[in-house]
Amino acid sequence: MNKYVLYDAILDINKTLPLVSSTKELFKFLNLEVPVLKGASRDLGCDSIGVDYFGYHFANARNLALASKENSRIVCVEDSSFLSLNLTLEELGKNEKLKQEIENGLEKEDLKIDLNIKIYTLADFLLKKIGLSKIHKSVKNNFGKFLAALYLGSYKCQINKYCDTNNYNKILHRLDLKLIDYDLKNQVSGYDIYDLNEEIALKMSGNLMLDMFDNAADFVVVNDARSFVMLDGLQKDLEKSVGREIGLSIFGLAELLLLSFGVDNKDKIGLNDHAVKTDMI
Amino acid sequence: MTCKLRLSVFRFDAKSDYLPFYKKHIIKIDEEKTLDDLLATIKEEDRLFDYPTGKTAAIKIAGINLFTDVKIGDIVKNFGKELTLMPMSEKRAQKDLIINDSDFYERFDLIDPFVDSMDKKRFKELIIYHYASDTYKYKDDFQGDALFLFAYEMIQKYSGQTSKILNIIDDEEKGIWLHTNICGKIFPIDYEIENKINSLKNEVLKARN
Repeated sequence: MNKYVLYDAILDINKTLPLVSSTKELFKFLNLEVPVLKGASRDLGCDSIGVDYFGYHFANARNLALASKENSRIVCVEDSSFLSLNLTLEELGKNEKLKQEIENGLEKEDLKIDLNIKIYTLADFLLKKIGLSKIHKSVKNNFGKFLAALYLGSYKCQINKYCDTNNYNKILHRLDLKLIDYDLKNQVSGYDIYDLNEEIALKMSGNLMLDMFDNAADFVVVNDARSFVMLDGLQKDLEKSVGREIGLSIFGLAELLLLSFGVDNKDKIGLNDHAVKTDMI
Repeated sequence: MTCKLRLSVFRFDAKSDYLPFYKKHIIKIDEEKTLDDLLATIKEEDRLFDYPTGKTAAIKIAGINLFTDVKIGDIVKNFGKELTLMPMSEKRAQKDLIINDSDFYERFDLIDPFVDSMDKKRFKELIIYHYASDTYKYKDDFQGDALFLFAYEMIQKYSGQTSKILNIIDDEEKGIWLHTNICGKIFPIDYEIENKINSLKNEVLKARN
């Protein structure tokens, strides 16, 4: 039987902790044994390839090798790290020189690269291990009366190269959740330029959220660390930037599933660690 | 195979209009025809309609920039049969789908001293990248991804000019560091864009040291 490990060393952990805690709680709820990948390096985010090409790929390759050592497949809490691991896996497959240099570095830890390792998004993993029909059967609180905006982040296009992002829609559909369409769904969140030009970054996310709000979204579903930081962690700043109140709750997929399955302990779900508090419970 | 398209077409005349409006068209067209053919058909229905023509003519559908030589069948497969046709940049709209692209050509001037004037032909082919950027939408003076991709090619072609070209785009106020992902903003998707931009950033940092 295949073994799985959870990669939880995600970007900006101080601001994205709810994505991690809710995923762990969801696996506990569903009796899925997915231990955390121990000793993993933190995801640096794929925008850092441009700053430190070798360091970025080395950190990801090390994480891949750690999972291989445990003969396990990797499940990612969120999609930024899923993309990082896949980008490195692809680069290692086509850049023999890089692979060799990284292998030399990993030898010290007795780690080896396995190019055939499997990496899953949370949505892909749930579909594979649980399936849509079981998800549907587990629903206690359906979301039929709500409208949600699904935002798949600045890197949706690349993520879609390695998985089917439509799986999010499939799962949310089984919760009877209605998804709104909105013009800016393909716009970036601004996370990557926040440190350099805070004003533009906030306007990007601010306008994104206003577009969701004006299209009647009751809340927003995201599943990548960057989007969570911008839309939840900085929502008060976004409001100032666009000059309007937004007040939309931001949920990760695991949080929404737990709510739907009737789990109402805000601590366990991770809701108490959100910057924008929800009144949905 | 013929398909029936429901179109909303952006209409605007910078000389007389304050706001744009969208005109509806229902058009039957062979899927083997191109977007350019579709635009010509709209023009047959409405002589006042204007659209970009030529080898580097491009517009925007569903927020994604594309050249008008793309086949209708490919558009239907990716965007469906209900389409909103927009200019590549609404804020630069001049007449319907035609934009004022002078700001794009001004970017060429930044690197012009280090390349051959014949290279401008290649630069023109990168126009969809310039207007696809979200950063550009928020910052008019952003150098733009067309310039970065052009720089990527030119430092390979003119290696002696590398440091001068990299110095131009290494601008914290409006240069390459403000790049945001454009992979999904052009059609067909080009996954290599981000690799090229990242490679260029690495070169910029090396050139600093």
